[in-house]
Amino acid sequence: MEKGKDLILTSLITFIVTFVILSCASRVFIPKWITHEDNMMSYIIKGFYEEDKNSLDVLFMGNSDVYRGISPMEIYQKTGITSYNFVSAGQRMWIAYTMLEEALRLQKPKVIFFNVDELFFTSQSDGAAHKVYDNLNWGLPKIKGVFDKNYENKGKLSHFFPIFAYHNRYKDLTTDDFKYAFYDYSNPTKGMDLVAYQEPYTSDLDYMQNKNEEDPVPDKTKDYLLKMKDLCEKKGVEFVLVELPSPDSWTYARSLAVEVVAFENDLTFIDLNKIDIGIDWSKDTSDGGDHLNIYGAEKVSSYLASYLKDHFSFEKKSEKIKKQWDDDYQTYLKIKEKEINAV
Amino acid sequence: MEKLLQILESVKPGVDFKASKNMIEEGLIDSFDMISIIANINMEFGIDFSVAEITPENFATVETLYKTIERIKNS
Amino acid sequence: MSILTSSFVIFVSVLLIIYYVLPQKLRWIVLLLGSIVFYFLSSRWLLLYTLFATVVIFVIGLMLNKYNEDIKNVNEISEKEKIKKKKKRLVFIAVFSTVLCIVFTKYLSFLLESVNGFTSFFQFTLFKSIPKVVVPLGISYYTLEAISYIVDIYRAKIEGEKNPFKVALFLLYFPKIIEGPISRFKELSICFYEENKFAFRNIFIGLDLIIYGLFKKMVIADRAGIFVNSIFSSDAHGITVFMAMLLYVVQIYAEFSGCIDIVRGVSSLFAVKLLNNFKRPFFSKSIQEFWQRWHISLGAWIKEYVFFPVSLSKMNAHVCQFCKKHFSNYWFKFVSIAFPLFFVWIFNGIWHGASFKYILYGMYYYVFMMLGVLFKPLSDKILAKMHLNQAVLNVWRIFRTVILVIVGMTLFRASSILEFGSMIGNLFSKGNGILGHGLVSLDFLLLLLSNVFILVVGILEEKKKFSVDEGFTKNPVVRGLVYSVLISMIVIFGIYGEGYDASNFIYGAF
Repeated sequence: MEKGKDLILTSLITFIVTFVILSCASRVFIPKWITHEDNMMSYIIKGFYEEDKNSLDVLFMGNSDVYRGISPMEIYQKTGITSYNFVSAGQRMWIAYTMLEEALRLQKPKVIFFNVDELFFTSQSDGAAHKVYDNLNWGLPKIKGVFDKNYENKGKLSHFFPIFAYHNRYKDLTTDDFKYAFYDYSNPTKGMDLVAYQEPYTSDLDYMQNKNEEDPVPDKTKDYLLKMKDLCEKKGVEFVLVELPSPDSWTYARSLAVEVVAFENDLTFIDLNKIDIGIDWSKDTSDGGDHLNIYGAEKVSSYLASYLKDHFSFEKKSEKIKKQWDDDYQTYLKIKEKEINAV
Repeated sequence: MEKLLQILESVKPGVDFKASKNMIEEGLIDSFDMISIIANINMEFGIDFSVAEITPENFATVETLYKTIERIKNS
Repeated sequence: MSILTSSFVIFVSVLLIIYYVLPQKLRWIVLLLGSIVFYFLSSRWLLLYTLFATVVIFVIGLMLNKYNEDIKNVNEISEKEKIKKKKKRLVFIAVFSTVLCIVFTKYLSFLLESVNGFTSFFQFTLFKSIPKVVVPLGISYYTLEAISYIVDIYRAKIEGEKNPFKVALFLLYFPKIIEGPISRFKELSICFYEENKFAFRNIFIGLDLIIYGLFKKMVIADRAGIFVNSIFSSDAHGITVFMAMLLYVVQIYAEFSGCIDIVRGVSSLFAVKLLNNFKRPFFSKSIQEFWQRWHISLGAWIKEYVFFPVSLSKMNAHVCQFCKKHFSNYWFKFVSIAFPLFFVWIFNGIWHGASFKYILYGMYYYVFMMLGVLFKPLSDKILAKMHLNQAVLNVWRIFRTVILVIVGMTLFRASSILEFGSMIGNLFSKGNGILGHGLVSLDFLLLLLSNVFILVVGILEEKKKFSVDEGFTKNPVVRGLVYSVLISMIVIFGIYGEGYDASNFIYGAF
């Protein structure tokens, strides 16, 4: 005689076993993208999860400018400060906020630097967003982010179970898909994409000249920025605005607009386009001014390292963490050498 | 009753209808057989078997079929 | 509203809650309202056709009730005959009006085109433009149900229902409106009004059927359909065209039986039992047996309301007497079956579609059935002489039936008799393989494995080891595990998402 408790038992088993099967399947079916660029989100976000809880002093957040332009390992070597680029390509402000919430679940950094140029982008950028959600762990930030009113996307279910979006790949699965499904993603470059290729920026070197234009920060993105500030304040984290050198998208007008917002909200804004940190546009960019390369990143990191030492004090690290980071630094050096020699 | 058994035997020779508890369920006769049986019954007993009487209950055994025939005859 | 969408899930869930909150006596109202909403969302104002049919059979049903009473109170035979004649007239009116609706919608263009074909002999076209009429959802199914209701009252098997809303529910009940099964008033009424108590068993059976049906539809049917759709209207040959024919049979079985399972499962959640339309049809040893195991509710309806009435009609009696007089007793027996069966198969063909192709489809099965009956004594003798054992014999019979069905289904699917002919002709030339037409080898492996799975389930059901209908297990852990595997298979290997359209139901446009 079937009873109510049978129904509960069956439902429980169905939910649990199906959940496990579909979660594993999701990991296998998520495309291990062909391009290095597309796989970045997996390396960065999954790498972040491999870091010990509360072991990071500083977080860098923002878009791909950051993962090319800041090298946490350079900062570590100079100062012993631990940091990570918890970023995503083609990021939008609603994704940034979700990632901030997620980051603060696992880490208690003293200061977070946020690269601001995405304040000026309001289009959707679905694919980039999906790649973040494919890699984000289950939790409140993820749920809130998927249902955020500014994130327009079909198929909310596929954000929690990527298998729904990628199940048609059953014909295209390779051994790589299985290998990387449960891979160890520890990231010795700490969220940095180390690129040594050089492609000079040859356009207007006076891109920071005052051209008497206006380019205000849109209200929609400003809202998220202020939410991020509030969240950091609540958690006792210093929130600092920064803009990495990016001649092909940054302007005097934009810089001014952000300065206004920073001033109105008592935020520090460091515009590295206005400070001379020694960037040589013939050598320090990998793609003609869109992103910096390792040489540019070293200069930015050097500046930030000094800034951090001058303005903040950080707790001593445990022996365990120091050893881990020292080892990772050695790996980092090997990666750097390999990359530079490959060019 | 004998006439009925003869009819059944002529339509489906070699089948022991008397022993059957349910001719339809046991697959002894199918719809085609029923038609032949009814045609013969109509002629032999001078009745008019209606579709309403073609039910699994009426065709269950030789006895029930005979009772059906009697009933139709007397109405 | 398609039954494969999240809106349908929400719709059913909401209905379920209201249904079981209400006391048993009022639950049918929820079903009626839900069915009206469902019908309206799918077919909008074509709902009026169904309401028209409801009114006709409701009114005539009550009138027949009165005559049935009168006949009992009258003693003279001549008076009885007069009332019988009046009853017959009423039945005629009811059948005529409901059939008129379906002719006017589903068969209008066929009718007009046929007239045009006739008048073309006289060098003119009578109907210059053939209007395209939208067919009301489920009209082929509920029209048959309406007729069965009236005829059953005529035969005094049931009483005409006094509540018109209950008559409406009988026709409109949403799980069966799309593709059947074609149901009878008495059986459904017991479920609607008497045996609708909540029981966990119904929930379990419902979920069993829904998940199994979804598996068949989304993993098997829609996958096979990719290949079938690619090949059928192309000029394929040899193994390619053969595989398409084979996969079409797989597709139509998995889809039709899968969807029937889903709607029976949904209905079971409401404690309403709908008959199964399929009983492992591919284990049939003859065409006759096949049509007792395939689309069972249609076969049963035709037997009850076409075959038996024609067999017992005066016309048939005259024809048979003629044969008995002028030919032998053997021919008398043969014609007594062949005559009504002709009407059965014409009906079956026409019901399936409004074109000559479907009439040919009906005749195809008629011819083979008649050949079977004609040659049975001869083939019995030959097979007896060959001393084959029973098992081998059965395998041969099943194989023969399956081949005949595959060819029949090819005719059913082909867009014209011509296309069917050329496909059969193309079978004997070289094809270009089975890959590269939308399915990769992994797809064929999946089809093979999933078909083996349903074959094994079928064998177990045939041997009465279990029945999916009655709940395949009593163990909640086993059930949970089976659900998990099937659901995972549906999610991972189901045909849906980008690049795929949800297949239209093959039997749904009737």
